[in-house]
Amino acid sequence: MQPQRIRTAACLLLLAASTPFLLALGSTGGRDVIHPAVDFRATLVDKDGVSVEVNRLNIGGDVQLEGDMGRGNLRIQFDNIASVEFTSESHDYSQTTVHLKNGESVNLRVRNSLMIYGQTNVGIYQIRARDLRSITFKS
Amino acid sequence: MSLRPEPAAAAVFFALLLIAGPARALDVKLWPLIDYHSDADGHRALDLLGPLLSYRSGGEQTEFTLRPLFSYTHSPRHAQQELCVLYPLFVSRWGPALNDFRLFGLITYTIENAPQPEEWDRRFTIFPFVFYRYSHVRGARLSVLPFYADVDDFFGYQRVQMFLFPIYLRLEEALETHTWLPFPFVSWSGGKLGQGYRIWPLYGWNQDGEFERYHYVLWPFYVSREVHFTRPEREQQLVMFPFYASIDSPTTRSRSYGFFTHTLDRKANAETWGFPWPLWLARYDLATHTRTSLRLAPFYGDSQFGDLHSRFVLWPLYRWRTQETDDYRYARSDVLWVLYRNIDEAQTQTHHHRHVRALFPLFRVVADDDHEDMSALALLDALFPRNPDIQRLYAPLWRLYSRERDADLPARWSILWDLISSEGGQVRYPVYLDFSG
Repeated sequence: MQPQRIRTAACLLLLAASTPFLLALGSTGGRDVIHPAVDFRATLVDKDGVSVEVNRLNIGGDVQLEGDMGRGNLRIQFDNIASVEFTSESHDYSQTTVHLKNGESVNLRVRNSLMIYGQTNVGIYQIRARDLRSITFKS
Repeated sequence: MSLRPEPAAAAVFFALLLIAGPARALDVKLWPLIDYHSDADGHRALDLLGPLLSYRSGGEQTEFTLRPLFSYTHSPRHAQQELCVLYPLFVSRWGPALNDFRLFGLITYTIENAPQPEEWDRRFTIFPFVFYRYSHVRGARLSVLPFYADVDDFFGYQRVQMFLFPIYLRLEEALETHTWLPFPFVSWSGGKLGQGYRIWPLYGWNQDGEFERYHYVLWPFYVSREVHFTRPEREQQLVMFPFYASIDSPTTRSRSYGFFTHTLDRKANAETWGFPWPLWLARYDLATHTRTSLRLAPFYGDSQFGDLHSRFVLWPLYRWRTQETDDYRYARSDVLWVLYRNIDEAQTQTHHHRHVRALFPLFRVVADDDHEDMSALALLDALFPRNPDIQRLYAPLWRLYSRERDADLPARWSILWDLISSEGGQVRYPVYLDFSG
């Protein structure tokens, strides 16, 4: 099990142990790439320098960035991210530098095929990680 | 004293002569003493004394198996070797990346053949008590639980440190660390995103950046948690055990009183009623006014969540689950989890198909695309149908009938440990000799 998942599980265990019925309620989550759980707005810049403003930014319906860190795996919620920079690493993977809102930064490796979705004024925008240069979140 | 050779010894001697000879098509079968088959492509198969001893070579890998004691496989293409003794008692693997030795899965010794500066060169573990790590860069590190521990990659944490547990415990993650002194009464959080402190069970609070935070008073009687708390979509959860619980967000309102629960989720367009939760529950789609889930545990359940449809009758006696998306189809039905199972997976765009059907202890069928493998009886291989070590080391002992098929080629089958068998086109009876190759 991955560290982030363990931490989340521990937190849920705390709540689940407190009461059996809380988990009956829970938010539905889901993998809706059109209507993610939270509306994050961001500016996406691709490798050619083309900039696109989107809202409802998500990755496969989730509002978190997940990638490899060493031998493990890490998920970072969009709530905590200020920006992400992408650098091609190999045919299959890209390196990302995730700048957190508190000034810290973390390096993650993501698959080039990772699809990022967002909503523009004229329709749904989608782009693969390999074609992205950066994501800058708007507070 | 007789000078007549024993039949078994003669069979072994004859077999060794055959193996040592040049590759050519040859069939010698004097069941159950010896069954040798080779073809012009260099494939060789030798079985002695029915299923007890077998040797295969010429394909992807070379195998030598003395059932049920041990098996040895060598894959020249991947430079990989494996030795199993009374699997899973002892398993050893050698490869270009690492050598690995496991005793019942709990005692392991691993050697990295190409040491990396950031990785341990050697790891010795007696789980979960002794952890020894050595690196030519970082030196040696020995942990003996519960007295002292300093272990990387343990139970999902990047680093676990412990001294005379439960006096001191520190769990380190990429973005957050938790420290207990002593466990579980006094603790605090730190790291890149974590902050908080707890004097359990009196009072505690914790925050994960701007994603979530919680606090409790007299845990578990009052626990409050907020998610996305800087966003308009902020969701607040409150538990006052065991009487009351709630969830509030712009799209969700949920209340629970004891074992009664009601949730209105406008984002999912769903309304849920439950009593006594979690055993009995019903969920309705507000748009279509249809029931999407009904759970009357343990008698009956039928739930539809998105593209996932689950049902059970007298759980866990019979369960059935399907999922279907544009390019993926999954269906599973089982009886008592593993007593009987039927699993079908298909990736429709790439035309990949996987299928498992097994009924303990009667049969097992595994199919991957055009390859199908069927056997009866099936004991451990019915419980672990895709485990290659069980397939190789144990399954042939109780396999009364087997059949293997590739695409449109004629099936290979065997009855009663090769008493009568077919390698495709030719049926081979207990005595079969073919020197025509």
